[in-house]
Amino acid sequence: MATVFIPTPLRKFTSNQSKIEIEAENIKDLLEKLTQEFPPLKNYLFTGEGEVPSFLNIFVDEDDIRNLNEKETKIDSKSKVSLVPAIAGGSDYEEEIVFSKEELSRYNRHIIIPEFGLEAQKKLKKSKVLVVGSGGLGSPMLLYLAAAGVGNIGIVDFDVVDDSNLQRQVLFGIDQIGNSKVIAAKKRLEHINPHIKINIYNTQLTSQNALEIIKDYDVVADGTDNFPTRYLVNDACVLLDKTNVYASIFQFEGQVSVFNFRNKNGLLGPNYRDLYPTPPPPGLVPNCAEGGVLGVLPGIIGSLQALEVIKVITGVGEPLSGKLYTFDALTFHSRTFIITRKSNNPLNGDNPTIHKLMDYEQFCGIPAVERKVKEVTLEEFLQMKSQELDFQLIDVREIHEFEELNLNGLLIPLSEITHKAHLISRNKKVIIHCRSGARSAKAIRELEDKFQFENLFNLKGGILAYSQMEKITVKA
Amino acid sequence: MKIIFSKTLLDEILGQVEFVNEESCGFLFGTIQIQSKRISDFIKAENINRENKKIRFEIAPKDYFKAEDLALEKGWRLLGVYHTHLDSPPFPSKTDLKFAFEEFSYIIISLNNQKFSSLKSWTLNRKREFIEEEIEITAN
Ligand SMILES: [Zn+2]
Repeated sequence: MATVFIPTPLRKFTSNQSKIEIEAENIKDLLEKLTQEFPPLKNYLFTGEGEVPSFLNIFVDEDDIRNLNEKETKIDSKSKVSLVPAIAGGSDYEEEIVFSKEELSRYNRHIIIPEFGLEAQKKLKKSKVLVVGSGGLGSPMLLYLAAAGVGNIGIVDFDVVDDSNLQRQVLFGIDQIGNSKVIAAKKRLEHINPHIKINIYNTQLTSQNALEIIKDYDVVADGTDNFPTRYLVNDACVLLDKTNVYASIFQFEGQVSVFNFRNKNGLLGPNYRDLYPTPPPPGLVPNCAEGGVLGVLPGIIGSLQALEVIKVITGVGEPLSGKLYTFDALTFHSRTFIITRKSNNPLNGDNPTIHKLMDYEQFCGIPAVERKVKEVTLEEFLQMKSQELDFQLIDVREIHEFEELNLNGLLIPLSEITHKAHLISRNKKVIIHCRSGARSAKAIRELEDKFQFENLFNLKGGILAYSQMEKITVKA
Repeated sequence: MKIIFSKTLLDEILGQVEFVNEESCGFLFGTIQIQSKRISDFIKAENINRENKKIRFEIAPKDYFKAEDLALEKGWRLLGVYHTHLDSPPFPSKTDLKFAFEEFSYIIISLNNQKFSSLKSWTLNRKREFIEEEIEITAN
């Protein structure tokens, strides 16, 4: 009789016996007799087609039957037959990263650094980085990440390019004013590096879409300058176990840190809520639009942020995890503070209370900034004009813009709008415009909030839409 | 079933799999209790895959026998297998599924830049689908 060796996981079907004696001529015969004696073994010895399954190897003495006569392999009374689980697997990640000649020559200055080399460059190519906001910080960050060869870059922004952005948002030029930032950014980045993929999300990052967008990326870099988005990005990254490379700027000062980063020992670093458990009272810390910022500063800080993203992806160097770096552009003082995880962190402290995303506007005490206002399109506006309907037109741009070109409206710059609200009619349609539609929307919200106006309409696309149409008509 | 092992054991395994630029693998031993599997020992096995050790592992049948013999000799139970994923999360791949055996626990250790990032344990259900097993790491 041949002896059959039963592996540990199958012994529950053989009353725990590891060796069974069976009289058989060949393997096929042996397997059939074995299943007659122990019926549940059948699923492990045969596939639906009656073959030996991929997860099982059968050995006769020292040899795999696949190298002998398969199931026809003869056996005799001295044979030792072993059923052996196939112990194998893998990780199935995409095929080996390869570079074209053009890419190798493009990234040569990276590859020749001994500590960096081709391995780090491969990691960049394989990586997926999401940049939230393509403004002051996002601009330099995106330029450098794209140039460095980060293979997949996602950009989230819902804004359009405004002339006042160009003082620091070096990704854009005057030709893109009034255009969507993400579309303009994609175009510019593809021009710098055709070897990478850019995914754009022309939307605001919200509690509703954040997890869905972020889940596909390895690293998130937050380049926004408002508290609700900062907490949103932080919480989403902690919930999804993603590293969050953080930076912020204000006037002359910048900060950088790496949050929710797991180090070589598997230890998780602190996140934004360990540094700032609660947001500052609304209005205490103004954003760039309100407090101003020196244009070079986001260039410096956004570049540092790009550097940290590259370090996190490649594993080269020590990322700023557990540390907050601050830079004062006026004195050139820079300091690095230690940050530690707090046991009362509501996301991942000892007693976590946050298990999903929340309403961050409310959490930060800010009413939703982007309340919709009523609009008229350029066509509707021109029709109203040609039909000589009775309406008031208000221009909220600055005087020098007005002098250059205007639509014959009443000039009340945005900064004076609430002081001159009495000049605005309440008993007919009032159309308010600016250059692109952003300032006029803000004016309308202020007037509605403070004086309960109900008859205000924003001219969609502003005077820009008008002059573009003019250009087209002149050309035609 | 819940998988229980000590921080010391994990550190010992990590000591052998970190900074290895290909998938590492080995066997896990211990005892089965009412609602848990307690891992007390492991042995490292050679990855004999010939295609691409960065994304594949394979253990020689002779090493499997050695593991079974060792279990008998020491009075342990062969509980499963561990292996690493390089720069890829600790979720079973199609290849892992193809070769997986019911009853065994498959601990996948994800390494990021050759350093430990996370781990998960998996076992097959009757429909040959991987189910995640809860892991408890004890102080010692
Ligand atoms: Zn695997």
